[in-house]
Amino acid sequence: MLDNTSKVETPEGIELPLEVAGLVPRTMAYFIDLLIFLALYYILILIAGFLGNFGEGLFYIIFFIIYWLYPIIFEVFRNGQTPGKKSLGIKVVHHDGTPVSLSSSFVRNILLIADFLPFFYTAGFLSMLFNKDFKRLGDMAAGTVVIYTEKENKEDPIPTAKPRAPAVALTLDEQRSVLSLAERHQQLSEARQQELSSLLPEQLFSSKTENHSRLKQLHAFANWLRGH
Amino acid sequence: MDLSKISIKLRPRNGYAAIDLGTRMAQKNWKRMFLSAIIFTLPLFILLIALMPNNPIWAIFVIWWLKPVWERPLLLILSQDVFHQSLSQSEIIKHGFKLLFKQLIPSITWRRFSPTRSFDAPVMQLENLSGAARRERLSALHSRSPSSISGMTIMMHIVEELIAFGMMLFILQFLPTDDIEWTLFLENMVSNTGLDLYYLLLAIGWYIAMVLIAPFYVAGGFSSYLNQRSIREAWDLELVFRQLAAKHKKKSFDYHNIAVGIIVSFLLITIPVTKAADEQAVDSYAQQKQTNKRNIEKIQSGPDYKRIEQTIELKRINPDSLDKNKDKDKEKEKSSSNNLFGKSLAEVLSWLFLLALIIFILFKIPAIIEYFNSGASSKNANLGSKKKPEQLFGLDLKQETLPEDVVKESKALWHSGEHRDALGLLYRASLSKLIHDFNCEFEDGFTELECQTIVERMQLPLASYFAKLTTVWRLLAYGHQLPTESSFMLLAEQWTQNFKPAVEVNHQAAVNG
Repeated sequence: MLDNTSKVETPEGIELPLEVAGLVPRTMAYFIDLLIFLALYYILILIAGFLGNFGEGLFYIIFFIIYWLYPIIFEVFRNGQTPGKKSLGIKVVHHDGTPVSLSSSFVRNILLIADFLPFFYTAGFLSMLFNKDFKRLGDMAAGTVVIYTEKENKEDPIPTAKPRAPAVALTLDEQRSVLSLAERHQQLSEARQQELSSLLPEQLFSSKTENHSRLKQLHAFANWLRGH
Repeated sequence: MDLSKISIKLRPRNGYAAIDLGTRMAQKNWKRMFLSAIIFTLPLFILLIALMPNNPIWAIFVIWWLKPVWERPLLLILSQDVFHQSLSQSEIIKHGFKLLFKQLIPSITWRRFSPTRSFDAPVMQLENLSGAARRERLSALHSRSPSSISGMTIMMHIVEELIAFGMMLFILQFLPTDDIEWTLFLENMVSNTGLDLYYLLLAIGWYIAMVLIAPFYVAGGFSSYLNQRSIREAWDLELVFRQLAAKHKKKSFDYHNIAVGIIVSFLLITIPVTKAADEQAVDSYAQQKQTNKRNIEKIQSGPDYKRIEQTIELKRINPDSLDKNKDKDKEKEKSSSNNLFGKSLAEVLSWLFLLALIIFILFKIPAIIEYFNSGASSKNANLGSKKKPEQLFGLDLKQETLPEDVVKESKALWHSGEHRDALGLLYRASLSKLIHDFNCEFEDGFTELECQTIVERMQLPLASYFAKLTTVWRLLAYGHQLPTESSFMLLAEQWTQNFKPAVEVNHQAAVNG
């Protein structure tokens, strides 16, 4: 089964799926960061212009510092997220899912230069397109990946019904699907919901359940699964 | 559409994650998609270049404009792969050519600049919709569709152009001309002279970039389309529900089978006519078994059960055989004469290395000897100290700490009321004597009873006395039960008798023996 995740196995033998982010969101994040950087650069020029030669020297020093440290500082102290990454909902982590360290962030951002070759990130783009975990060269060297931040675990409302246990024991996947059907009751058309519920085996429902009242019973199951 | 055959993990994804899944799909089928893209565009590109040698940019512009058309075979490959069907390359070309002319005019005119081009393509190509039906379907799919799809089109476009320039510069770096600086290119661009080479290279770079990016763009749009439909039609739920239904259906079918089986077996027992049939069944069973066995053997003799090793051996070629082709020989001689210097250098270096190694070892011999000696002696020292523990269960057993006359001292302690210390001294002195004079092998961490066992095992004459002493000591030390004065006095009296200097004891033992 093809999926957009990278599996990490913990020492306890549990598999954690990391949802890795690819070329499109990462390039967008980069352009947002670039805009912010250019704004800073512009302000810096304005200020340095008043200071003459000294200003010019100061400008180059500060430019150097901002250019190299902007991503590193944000990644290390802001949960792996530069402002651009934050707006796209992605962040940098080590490939085992742990927060990015100073040294890794340093390596991956210094190697932006390698990704830049031969002109404006050609190497980086190709690397992101052809690497399985969408890593650019700097990511490969530093052992990092860019992943989607997890959504807040908020519960979608489900239609209220008297909780009821299904007549047959369901596996985790099946329980999730029953719950998900109730959670998506506003997105799916009524007809489609009926159709989906008619797919289910009749053993699941109490005897003498008419086809059209199956959906209501499924909602009751969902309430029971939620623990209402 | 059979969802149970789908090869991607169905779950509702956000817009960008769907595009990333598309990238993975393209990675999986990349070679075939890339090849198809080249097959459908390269002839046209070469033709156009040949027709307009002075305007390579126009040639590339035509290819770029026709993108929606030659992206169709790529989508065909992806859609086949998602449902686990694979077409051969020739089939793809055959089907692809048919696809090229489907709704050709709208695709390359007013639909060409739609920011959701790759997202819309499956509706036309896979669902075969056109006109009002297509519009309706698209508006349904576009409602609540994420902005990521048009974002992808813009990003992919930018990336494609950047890669095009990157490719151009990459090629430029390998050209042996003087003015390869790209700053020169910019200069020329401003002055608009001497640009022919650059334009040609740009066209080639752009072509490469387009062919590289197209699979990912198509896959991103297709994956977004699948994701959108999966969300709107709850494909993931449908798949799970169908599997659940199939599971239960199979179960009830099994019951049915078993019931039929039972009835049939009853019939077989009661009706004698069926005996022949029964035998036949046995025969067929045996036959089945045999064919199964054969199959198993066949599989086991196959490559999966064998370890096949490929080894490459370098053999010295017989010089006689070399004589046969003299020309080659001559060449070899030439090259070997070139290599002669290298060979002799390597030889000298290796001899030097060996010499250096020998000198190094000679210099280091004293140190090595010392190392081994010190190791051995320290080992011995370890052994010696291991034999004689200085402490057992918290009691200090060093000989120096014991008083000269143990019995007198302990009696004095008893009379001054320090009963515990008195008995402790007695016991301590016994252990110390046993270790140092009788060579009992007590180890660190032994308990009182283990010491007693050792003494008994050595069959020393004082074993019974030591056992008594140990019992009294354990009662006092852990049970806080004081021995009576008379029993203590008895123990103290007997101590000297039992723990005479070891030599005397041994002597006595010899006499007794």
